[in-house]
Amino acid sequence: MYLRLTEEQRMVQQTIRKFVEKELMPLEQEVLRNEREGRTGLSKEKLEQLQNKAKEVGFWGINTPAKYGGADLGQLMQAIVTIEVGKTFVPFEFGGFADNILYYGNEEQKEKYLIPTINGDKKSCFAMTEPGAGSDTQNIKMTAIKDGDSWILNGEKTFITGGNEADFVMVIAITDKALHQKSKGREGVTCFIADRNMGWKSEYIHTMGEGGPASLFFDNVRVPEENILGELDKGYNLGLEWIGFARWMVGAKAVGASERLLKMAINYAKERETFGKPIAERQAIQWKIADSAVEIEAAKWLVYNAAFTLDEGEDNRHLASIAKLYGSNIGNRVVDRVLQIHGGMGYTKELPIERWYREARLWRIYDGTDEIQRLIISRNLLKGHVKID
Amino acid sequence: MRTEATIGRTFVDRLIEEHMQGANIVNEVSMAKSWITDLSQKVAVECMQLYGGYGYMEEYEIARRYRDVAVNSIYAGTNEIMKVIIAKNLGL
Ligand SMILES: Cc1cc2nc3c(=O)[nH]c(=O)nc-3n(C[C@H](O)[C@H](O)[C@H](O)COP(=O)(O)OP(=O)(O)OC[C@H]3O[C@@H](n4cnc5c(N)ncnc54)[C@H](O)[C@@H]3O)c2cc1C
Ligand SMILES: Cc1cc2nc3c(=O)[nH]c(=O)nc-3n(C[C@H](O)[C@H](O)[C@H](O)COP(=O)(O)OP(=O)(O)OC[C@H]3O[C@@H](n4cnc5c(N)ncnc54)[C@H](O)[C@@H]3O)c2cc1C
Repeated sequence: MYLRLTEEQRMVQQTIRKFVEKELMPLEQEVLRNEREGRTGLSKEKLEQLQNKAKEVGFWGINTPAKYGGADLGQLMQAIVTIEVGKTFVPFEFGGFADNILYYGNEEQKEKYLIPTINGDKKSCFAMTEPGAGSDTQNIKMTAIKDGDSWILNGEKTFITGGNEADFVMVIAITDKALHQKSKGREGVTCFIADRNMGWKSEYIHTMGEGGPASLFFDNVRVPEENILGELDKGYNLGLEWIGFARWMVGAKAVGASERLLKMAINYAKERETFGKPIAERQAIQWKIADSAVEIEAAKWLVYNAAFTLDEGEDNRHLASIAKLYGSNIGNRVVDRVLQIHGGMGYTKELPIERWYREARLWRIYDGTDEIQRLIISRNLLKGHVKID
Repeated sequence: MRTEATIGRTFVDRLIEEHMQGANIVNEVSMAKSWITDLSQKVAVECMQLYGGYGYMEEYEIARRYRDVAVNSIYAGTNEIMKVIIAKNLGL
C-alpha cells in the first residue's frame, strides 16, 4: 500500500490550486454581491471565459474519454480536483463534461446530445425526483404512453438541478405500469431524452442555497421513440447510475470547503483578541480547530479511497456511500464551528461563511439523504454484499 | 428531541420563578442560555432533515428557522463565554 499522491497527482493538485487562487478566489466578493442582489453569482460569459482559460492550461473534460477530446484523468484525479475547486464557493466547473449516462446513447444520440454537451453548446439535466417520490424512487407517477412512433409524457418533476437552464432533460417515466408494480419499480420505467422545445416547462424553486433547482412540467409532451436512452423499460438502472456517479464527490466538495473554512478560522483566531489575548489561546477555540482537522483528514481519505477503488475497476458503491455520509456531515460540523469562531462576524454576509453554512445543509439531502446512505451501508452489511474482514 | 425540549422548558420555567423571587441565578442562566440555544440548533437541523428536499426550500418555514437559530449561540454572550462564566462561578 502506498498512501501518497503520486508526483503527477501532486502536480495536478498544485496547478488547480494555483488556478483556484489566481482566477476564482478574486471573484468571491463579486459573486457574493451578485447573489445578494439577486443575480447569478457568475454570468454565463464569465464562466465560459474561465473555462477557456482552464482549457489553455490543459483542464478540460477531466474525466471525459480522450476519444471525445477529454483528459481522461480518472476518478482519484477527479477527487483531487473537486477538493481544490471546493475551496471556493465561486460557482465554477471545468468544461468538457457530460453526464455519465449519456455515453450509453446510440451514435445518433451521441452526435445530437453527448458531443454538444461536452463542447458546452448544450446543457443537460437529469430528472427522477417528483413531488411524491424522492428517496422512494419507486413511487414515481410520471407516465409515457406510446402513440405511433412516439411517446406522450405527462407528469411533474421537482428539485431538478440545472432544470432552469437545460436545453434537454433525461427524464424517467413509467412505460409499463404492470411491470413497474410487479418488479417493485426496478423495471417498467424508461429514460427519455426530451428537448425543451418538445414542450416541457420549468419553474425556478427558491431554496436556502444559491442557484436553485427547478420544477419541470410535462403536459402531453411528445417525444420520438428514437429518444429513448438505453433500453425500453430499463431506465431505473440508468437513474441509479447517474445518482451514484457523483455521490462521493459531495464528500470531496465538503472536504474542500472545510479545508478553506478551517484555514479562515485559524487566521481569524490568531488575529482576534478578547480579554487581552488572541482567542487562539483559548482551549474552547483550540478544540474546535483540532476536532475539525481530525474530521477533515478522515473524510479526505474516505473520498480518496472511494475514488481509488473505482479507478481499480472495482465496485465502489459501499465506499461512496460512506464517503458521502461522513463528508457531508463533517462539512456541516466544520462550518458551524468556523462560524462560531468568527462570532457575530460569521453570521454576516460580509464573509462567505454563512453562505457555506446554508449550502452545506444540502449535502446531507441530495444524492441520497443521510438516512438513505445509512440504509444502503447497513443493507450491504446485513445482506452480506460487503463483509467486514 | 421531545425529551430534551421538555428538559429545557422545565429548566427555563424554574429559572423564571426563581428570578421573580429575586434569587441570584447568573450561573443557571448561563447554563440555560448555552445548553438550550445549542439544543435549538440541533433540533432545527434534525427537523429540517425530516423534510428532505422540501426543508431546503424557502417556501417552508423550517428553512428560515434553521438560519435564524444559528445566531443564538453567538449573541447575548457567546456560548463559550457562558461556559467561562459557569467555570468561574465554580471557582475555576
Ligand atoms: C437543491 C436540490 C437539488 C436536487 N437535484 C436533483 C436532480 O438534479 N435530479 C433529481 O432527480 N433529484 C434532485 N434532487 C432531489 C433529491 O434527490 C431529493 O430531495 C432527495 O432524494 C430526498 O427526497 P425528498 O426530498 O422527497 O425527501 P423524502 O424522501 O420525502 O424524505 C424525507 C425524510 O425522510 C427520510 N427517509 C425517507 N425514506 C426513509 C427510509 N426508508 N428510512 C429512513 N428515513 C427515510 C429522508 O432521509 C428525509 O430525512 C435535488 C434536491 C435538492 C434539494
Ligand atoms: C444578529 C446579531 C444581533 C446582535 N445584537 C446586538 C445588540 O442588540 N446589542 C449589542 O450590544 N450587541 C449585539 N450583537 C453582538 C453580539 O452580542 C456579539 O456578536 C457577541 O457578543 C460576540 O462578540 P463578537 O462577535 O465580537 O465575537 P468575539 O467576542 O470576537 O468572539 C469570537 C469567538 O471567540 C470566542 N471567545 C471569545 N472570548 C473567549 C474566551 N475568553 N474563551 C473562550 N472563547 C472565547 C467566542 O465565543 C467566539 O466563538 C449582535 C450580534 C448579532 C450577530
